[in-house]
Amino acid sequence: MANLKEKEIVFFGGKGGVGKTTCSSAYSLYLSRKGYRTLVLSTDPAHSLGQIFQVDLGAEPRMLEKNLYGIEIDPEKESRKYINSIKEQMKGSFSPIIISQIQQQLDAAYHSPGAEEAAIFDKFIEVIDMVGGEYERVVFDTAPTGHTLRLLSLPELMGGWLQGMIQRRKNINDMMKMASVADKSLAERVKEDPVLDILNRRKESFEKARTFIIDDKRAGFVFVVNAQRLPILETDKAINYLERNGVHVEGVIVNRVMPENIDSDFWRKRKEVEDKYMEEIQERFGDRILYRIPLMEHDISGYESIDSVARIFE
Amino acid sequence: MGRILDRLKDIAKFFADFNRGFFEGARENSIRVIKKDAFDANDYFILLCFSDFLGIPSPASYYTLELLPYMAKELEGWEIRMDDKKDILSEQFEKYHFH
Repeated sequence: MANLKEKEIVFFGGKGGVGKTTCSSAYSLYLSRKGYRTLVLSTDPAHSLGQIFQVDLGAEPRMLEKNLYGIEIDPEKESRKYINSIKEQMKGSFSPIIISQIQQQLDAAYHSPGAEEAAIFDKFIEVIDMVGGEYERVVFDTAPTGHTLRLLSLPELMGGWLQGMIQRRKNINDMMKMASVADKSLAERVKEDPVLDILNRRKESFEKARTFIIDDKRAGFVFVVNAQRLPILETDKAINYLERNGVHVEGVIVNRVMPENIDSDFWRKRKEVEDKYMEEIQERFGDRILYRIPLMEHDISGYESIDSVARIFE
Repeated sequence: MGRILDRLKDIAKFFADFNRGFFEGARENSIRVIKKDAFDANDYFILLCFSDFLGIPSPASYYTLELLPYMAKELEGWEIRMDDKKDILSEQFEKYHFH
């Protein structure tokens, strides 16, 4: 982890249940104790981040310890905020008839495909703006792999679409300008175009986010893995996917490694199974293994137990 | 002599009228075509933004919502035009005045 603490944003990813939240909370605690003003955030609907720190977390940063703040992103709350602000904007300027027609569409928008990722990404863009200012370090406890991969691909996917729409709108405005030579009312209409402004603003914020994510000096991705078949396979695929898309993967943390001294036959056999998977992990991720975290006797909950994991990062 | 001069004036006036009618007419025609193209392109743009409203899901629909306050006025007419798009060919021919 020599370089990891240099990165301003670190994403912790991996299959559900491998211990992402444990690792990301322990890592964020480690950073805060090193003196970095740190923000740790999670999008887990099960509120595991709040549970680990035994604090109620929400959309606004809440202090967890000196130098450490936490956020839990609720995508539904974020989309509701967004949609309500649009409704507010429309109140004064339109007839109630138009508003009620559009109301249906607006309310259905929460459930449209991609709305959840879009809302999370918008919050993430807000957080990026705070890096280097309010916070020196950001630790992102991500949702299980699939969601995260889609989230990180968002700027690229949307970037292309936005560019196309911006070009179309520009062409329309140019044509309208030409046609407005003979039509005064049309000339009024093409003077300013707020739609083009909004599209451009979106495009810029996506570009800013994407530049940050693929800058391997500023952002890094860490996968948490267990010595089990599915987490290993999933992580291997995910690492390939991310690297193909320019996101730098720092490495892999192996969590819940069984102790060496084992008395019972049953657990020794389990240890042998684990050893096989540890070999596989060595093969697939060899030079990238950052840390091995032992299986703890107790559950990870509360500062003391996170502390025991945080020491690993020293 | 006077009659030839008058005749010349008539011819000059005829050519002036002819030029004006011919070139302005062509200009008006091309402006009309451009205007139709612009409005058609705008309808297509609205379709790309709000295809949801016609029941066609779009991956970008979350983001186009924030355009609504600026485009809502156009939506009613747009929906009617989308409904009326029965005879696309005749619409396309119309702009070239093939009667």
